[in-house]
Amino acid sequence: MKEGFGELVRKIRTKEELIFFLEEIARKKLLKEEVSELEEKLRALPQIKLEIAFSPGEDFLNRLSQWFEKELGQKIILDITCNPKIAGGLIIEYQGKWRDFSLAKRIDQLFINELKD
Amino acid sequence: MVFNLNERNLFFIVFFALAALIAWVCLDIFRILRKEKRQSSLLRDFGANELFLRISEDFREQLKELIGREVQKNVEQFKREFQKASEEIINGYQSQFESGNQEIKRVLGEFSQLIAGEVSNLSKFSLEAQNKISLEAKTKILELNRAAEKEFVKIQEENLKAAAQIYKSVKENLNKKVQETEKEIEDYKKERFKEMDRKIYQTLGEVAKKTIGKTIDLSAHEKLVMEALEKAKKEIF
Repeated sequence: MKEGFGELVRKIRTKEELIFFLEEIARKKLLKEEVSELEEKLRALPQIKLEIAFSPGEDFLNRLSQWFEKELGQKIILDITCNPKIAGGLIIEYQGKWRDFSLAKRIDQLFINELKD
Repeated sequence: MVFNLNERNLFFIVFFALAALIAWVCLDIFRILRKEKRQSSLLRDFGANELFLRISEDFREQLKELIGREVQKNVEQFKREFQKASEEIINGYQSQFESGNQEIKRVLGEFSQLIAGEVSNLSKFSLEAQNKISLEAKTKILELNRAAEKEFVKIQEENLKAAAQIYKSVKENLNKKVQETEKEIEDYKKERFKEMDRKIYQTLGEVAKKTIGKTIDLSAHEKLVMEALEKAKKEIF
């Protein structure tokens, strides 16, 4: 059963999927011990906020999820927001740290430098 | 020689005093007696010389008339003498008065001449004094005018200097203000241009972001995200 959960957890990539799954658990009132354990495990998963300029496809979501799992050594829930205003790249927030690696910022920086000159 | 008031000396003093008193009383009695005797002799002489005459009425009348004529005669004579004396006195006084009058006239004439002379002198002196005063006044007025003119010129020069200084100061202040205002305008222009540039660049940026965001294809987006994650890995993870 626990191994089955592992497969299930692996399938959950984004926060929306996590919420959906948790709602399913609540709706079906699966109050068995294993389910409760799963819920706890799911709720304990670390999250990372990403703001990107496009709506990612399934392949790119998988690629992102795997990249984070590989880099951080644990399962990560992606809280992705689609914002075309950033033009490209991403804005990331993880464990209270926030960074803007967007193309919009680079363009702004370019014009600011032009103004300074 | 020393005088001693003894009994003997006292006796002599009293004796002489009494003798002197008796002598004085005797002399006084003698004098009173002599006076009474003289009065009685006078009365006796008057009684012996008294004359009683019996005269007639005619004689009385003639005597009265005679006495009246004599008296009239004396009175007239006295009158004449009095008149004569009066005339002499009056003539004397008149002559004296005439001579005095002439003297007065003479003195008055001399005095009038003197007064005329004095008046002439006075008028002359007055004229001279007037001329002198007038001349002095003219001189003083001229001096005062000169001094006033000098002072006026001095004041005018000082005023001109002050005005020039004020003008210079005002001009400097105005120049300073103009320079400051020009600088402010220049700064404002620069600021406005900067603001405009900023807005232009902002607009350009917005356009660029929209254009780039739309023109970049999906694979390029994914590539950009992965590059950003690689950067984030170095800074965050």
